[in-house]
Amino acid sequence: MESLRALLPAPLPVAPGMPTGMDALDGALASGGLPRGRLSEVVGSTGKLTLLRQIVDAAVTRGEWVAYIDASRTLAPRDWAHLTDARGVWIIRPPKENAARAPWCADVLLRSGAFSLVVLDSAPPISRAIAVRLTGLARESNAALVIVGAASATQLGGAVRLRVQRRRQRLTIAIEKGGSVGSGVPGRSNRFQHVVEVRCANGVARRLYTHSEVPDRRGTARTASGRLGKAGRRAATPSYTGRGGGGMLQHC
Amino acid sequence: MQLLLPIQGAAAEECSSTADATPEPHWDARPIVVTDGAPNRPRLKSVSAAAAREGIRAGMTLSEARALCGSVEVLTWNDAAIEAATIETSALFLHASPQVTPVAGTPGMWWIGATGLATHGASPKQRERALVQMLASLARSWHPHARIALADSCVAARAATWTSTPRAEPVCIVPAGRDASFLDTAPLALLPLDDEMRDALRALGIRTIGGLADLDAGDVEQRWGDAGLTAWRLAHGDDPRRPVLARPDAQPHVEMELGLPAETMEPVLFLARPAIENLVSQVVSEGRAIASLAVTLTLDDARGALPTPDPAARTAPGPRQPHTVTREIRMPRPLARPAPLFERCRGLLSQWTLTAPVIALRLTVRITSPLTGEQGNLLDTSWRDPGAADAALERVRAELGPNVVVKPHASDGYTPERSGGWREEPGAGSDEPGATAMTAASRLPVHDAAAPRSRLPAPVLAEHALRLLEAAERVDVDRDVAPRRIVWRGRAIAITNAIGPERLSGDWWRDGYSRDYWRCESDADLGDLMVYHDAAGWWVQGWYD
Repeated sequence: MESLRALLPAPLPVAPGMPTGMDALDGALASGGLPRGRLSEVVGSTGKLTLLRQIVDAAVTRGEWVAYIDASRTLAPRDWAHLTDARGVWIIRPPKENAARAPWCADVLLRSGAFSLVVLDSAPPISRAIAVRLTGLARESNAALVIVGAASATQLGGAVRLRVQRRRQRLTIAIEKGGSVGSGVPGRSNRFQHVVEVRCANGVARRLYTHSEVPDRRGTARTASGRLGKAGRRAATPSYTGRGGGGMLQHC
Repeated sequence: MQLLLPIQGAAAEECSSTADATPEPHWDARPIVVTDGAPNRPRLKSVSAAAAREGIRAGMTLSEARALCGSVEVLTWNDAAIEAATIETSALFLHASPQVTPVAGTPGMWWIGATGLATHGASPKQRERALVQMLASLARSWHPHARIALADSCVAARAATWTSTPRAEPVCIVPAGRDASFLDTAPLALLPLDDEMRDALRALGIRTIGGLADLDAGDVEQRWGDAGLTAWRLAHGDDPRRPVLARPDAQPHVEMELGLPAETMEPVLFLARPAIENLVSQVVSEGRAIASLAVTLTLDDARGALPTPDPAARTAPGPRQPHTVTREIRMPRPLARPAPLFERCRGLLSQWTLTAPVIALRLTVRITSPLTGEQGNLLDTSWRDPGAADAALERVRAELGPNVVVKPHASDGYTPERSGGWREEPGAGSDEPGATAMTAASRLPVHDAAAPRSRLPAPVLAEHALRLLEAAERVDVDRDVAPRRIVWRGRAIAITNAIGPERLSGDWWRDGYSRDYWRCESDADLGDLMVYHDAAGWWVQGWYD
């Protein structure tokens, strides 16, 4: 057996991946991040955009060029405004009537070979053939291609498949494909699903209205049960009354 | 920097006619007129400075000149003598510069190139000054009050000769890159224009070159055509004339005919790729990159116009013979790779509405630029080609329209839809250092390993990202105090937890909105909905993803 193994060519080295900015996730992925030149799928019900924003920020911070295709035109500009002056990031928002051309945009951008990361977010479902084509272009340009879809999206044959779910303070990322834990063999998919949990620190509640000096003049806040919130008459302060919340301010 | 130098001597024609006859005093100090030699009513073609001081002007009849000055000397125009004097003086100027061009049709004026005269240990300004002094000394042997000017363009240099004072300071140097500002206040008479255009501009009250430059290029072209556009460019200091005796090399081009007239762009695109590869190989072999590429299609109108959605093109009375249409691609930065060039070419052709079948294609390199280090760094594996990125984004813009390639920005507003917006990325133009002089550089970043990285705030995973609908959608809500069930897009969503209300109200003097925002958590796969209630009902504005 050993002599037979010696005759076989050595496995190709795994190219260093694109760090996601989360050490736990990078360590759990076979290539130490999102694989370059390959397709990565991000699916799930909630938390996809939060994860994607983190990945984009990490790439831009490293000076890599990013193209983000917002096919559904649902990105909130305020959440991405920190990239206003950042160099090397472009957001492409196809018109609604041309949302189906989002894969074409990815094709053009990947073909240029100028981008390290191309994200195709919430595009209409694409066929496996298109995914293969885009993967080929990503391979030629050594770019990481990320396709973000709903949980029910068809599997596109990506090298990495992440299923994301947010549950209050925890962002749970299940590596369904492309993980490196268990056997410890890098580059080999593990049949055991590896789950990475990223904790969300408690902080102030996410409020729309953040001006601290202007009080609300129209009454008091009530909790879901109708009682006054802990914040008393500060109506603009939301209170958390859900399961297990214990009245703690929820960072959401 | 291209420096041009015209030397103008007043009444240059007399130089050749009289130089041999009377060396002392100088011919320009005597009242001399040169007639056209007509047997009846001869008219003056040129006059000396002394004659001009007597009020004699070119175009007068000889009788009128003699009425103003009885002692005027009369000579007859002699082309051969003028040509000989011009050649003799040109040879003299060759001692100063290898590029000497007598201006055609204007005896007594020369364009003299001032580039490529590197002198070790001298700054550019010192070189300019040395050259001007040498030319001045040479020119004085021909005319004591020759005027000399240095500028980037011929039109500015010629105008500058008239701002210098021949006796006190015969030399005028226009600083590099300041031609347009120099011409701004110059009189319109210093610009070569046809009489009709000059009269029309005068009627419009435009007296200076800057006034013409301020006009809209489209208006100028519409009214005066190509001649007007040429004058407008000259007014901006954009003068293609160069002081070279040798005929410039033909622009690299590739031309091919289609076997069958093409009614779509596919065959043209098919041919464009190898054509661009050919052009790039030609240009790169000379160590240059392509900055501007002209695409010329030959349309065969005789075969009948193609149906076009553009009513103007449909009704336009086009020529019935094959004609060419040329459009130009100006690269934000010079390119030396076929792929991004082809992408830009494809972006142009895909937006080109054909009015007749295409029978030929011609690609011409209009402007080239020396290859720079930005073209690539083979040792840096992370290097990304800015030209390629710009070409790709340009194609996306061309295909999908404006406001597609955008950047986010925050704005001062409390409601989610007013707290930020999208700003379109400009197509080209940047003040980035290292930009090429001929075209505005792209605002695309240039990867530089030594440059500081973008300063972004530390990643905060807890900050859940919001997906914001472009327009809030009305929903039906079942509630007691807080929403308990939401029906949105035909789907009932049970709310497990609702946080709020967060009450926002607008300025009463502006729009006076009043909203109660709720963040509704559910077990559905949508995430947390952002719902608000106002006087009109309940609305979903987005969800946290």
